[in-house]
Amino acid sequence: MAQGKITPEEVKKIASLAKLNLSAPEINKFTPQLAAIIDYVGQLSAVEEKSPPIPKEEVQSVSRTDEVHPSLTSKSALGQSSSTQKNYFVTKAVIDND
Amino acid sequence: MTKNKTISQITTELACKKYSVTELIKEYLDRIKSENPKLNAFITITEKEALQEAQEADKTLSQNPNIFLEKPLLGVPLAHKDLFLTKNIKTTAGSRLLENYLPQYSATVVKKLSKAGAISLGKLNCDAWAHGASGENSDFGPTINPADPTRVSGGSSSGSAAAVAADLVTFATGTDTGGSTRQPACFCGVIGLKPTYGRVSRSGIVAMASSLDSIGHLTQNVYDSALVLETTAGPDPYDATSSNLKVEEYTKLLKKPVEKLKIGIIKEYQDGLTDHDVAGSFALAKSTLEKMNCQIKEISLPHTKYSVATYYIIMPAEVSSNLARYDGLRYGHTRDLFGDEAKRRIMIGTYTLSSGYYDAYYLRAMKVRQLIKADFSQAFADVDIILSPVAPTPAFKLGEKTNDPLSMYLSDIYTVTANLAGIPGIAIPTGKNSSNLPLGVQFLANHFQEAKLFNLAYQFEQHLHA
Repeated sequence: MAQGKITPEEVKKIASLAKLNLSAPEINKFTPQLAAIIDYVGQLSAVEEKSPPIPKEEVQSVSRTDEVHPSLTSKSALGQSSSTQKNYFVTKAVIDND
Repeated sequence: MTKNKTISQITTELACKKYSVTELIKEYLDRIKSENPKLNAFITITEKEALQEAQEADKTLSQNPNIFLEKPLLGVPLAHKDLFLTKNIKTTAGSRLLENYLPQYSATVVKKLSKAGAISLGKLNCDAWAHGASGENSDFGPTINPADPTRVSGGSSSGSAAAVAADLVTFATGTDTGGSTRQPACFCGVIGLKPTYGRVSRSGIVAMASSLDSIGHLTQNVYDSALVLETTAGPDPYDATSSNLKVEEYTKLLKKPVEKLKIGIIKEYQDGLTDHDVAGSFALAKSTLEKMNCQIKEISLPHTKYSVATYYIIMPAEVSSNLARYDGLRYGHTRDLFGDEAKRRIMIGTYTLSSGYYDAYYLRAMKVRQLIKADFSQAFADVDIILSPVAPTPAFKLGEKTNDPLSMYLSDIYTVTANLAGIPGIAIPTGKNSSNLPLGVQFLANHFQEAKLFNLAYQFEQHLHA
């Protein structure tokens, strides 16, 4: 298990992965807190026993027949967004072809 | 015993026309308006809707006096934790990110309770996203403990516990992912139920950790808790993890004799009971069970010392996934409105799931979780019910733990195990300390053994107040 304290650079990277825009003061605030928590949960590295297998009855898929049922209307589904166009949610471009 | 009206008291009094539903609901709404400014239990009060439903209930009752057979909760005032989606009624999850969110559908449990006739008076305050064990992480201010205005109500179902204790509602819904129904129930002196994972549908309830979330409720007494579960439990096509197992008539099984039931006491917890009041409450519970001719047996849960660490890897991992949907595009505001605790948990989850760390943290935690579950399976081969404390201390002071997130996490020690194992638990008050702060204990049972849990809890409650 990875030992050693989490660094501000790592916190910045994690925040970026999680789409959280942290300010520099926030990064400084969170770094020691996260370090303490990660350090605490790291104690599981001491557990060497093999775990029992997950019972078969716990792992089962649930399915239903492929029938169409009424659902939310488009108007209703779009109604809570501040950014829509016709029947679409508007978002930033993911692929930039320029 | 509580002076607050219970569900059965209300339905009896409505049936014999002691008062109308409208009069009853008006009385509760008046009390909410008077007390809520001090307690901050409610985020939204739905006065107009409640009075409308009350009038309809009075009409139904006058046309069909036997309606209680079909609608066992007719006219009973409740409120929902603000994680429960309520169609066209603001649902915030305790967060400014959703401060203007109007759900377009209601949670399955909301629909079930409404169909049974219960009348919702509003939406209850909670730690934002259910992240917390005090109520202090709510973006709408903490809920105050009705027993002491300087202390927390517990969390994350803070408003639910305070509202039931202060008689603002007869019962309230809650969620329990790591203790969030049982701990505030204990801090406020009411009954808090965490059903078996999958016993009650999670559909339409803001997800925290999808393998740990359990949908519970807080009530004035054990009978009411059993009655509410009869309504909320059952399979739901909208929740693939909901169980098809038959829902028992829990209220009819309360008076079964409990002599000779084997009650387990966890060996590993005994040294940790350092708080004088909590130790006293536990000792009282043990001696009460002995007077009831139950057999007390020491059991060992050897992996219980890893519970908090296991929980604080698995839960944030699932939180980081569940909170990814809040991108401000389809509903709510942008992610910068997450509070500190949400950001911490999202980041811990992202870290432990990330490449290079996944095996060492998340996968390891999932394996330890199986060891913890196996400990409980082994224990329940030996005993019927486990008796345990709920929290290391009674309700603590506002601000006491807010500077140290890890210290707050460690206070979950007695509650997270039930969530990791998926088993049911019920928190019951045992009395008060010398400062009038409520004290309690919890009973835990094996999967889907709620009938056994309620049976013992009911008799225990009767004995304590005999």
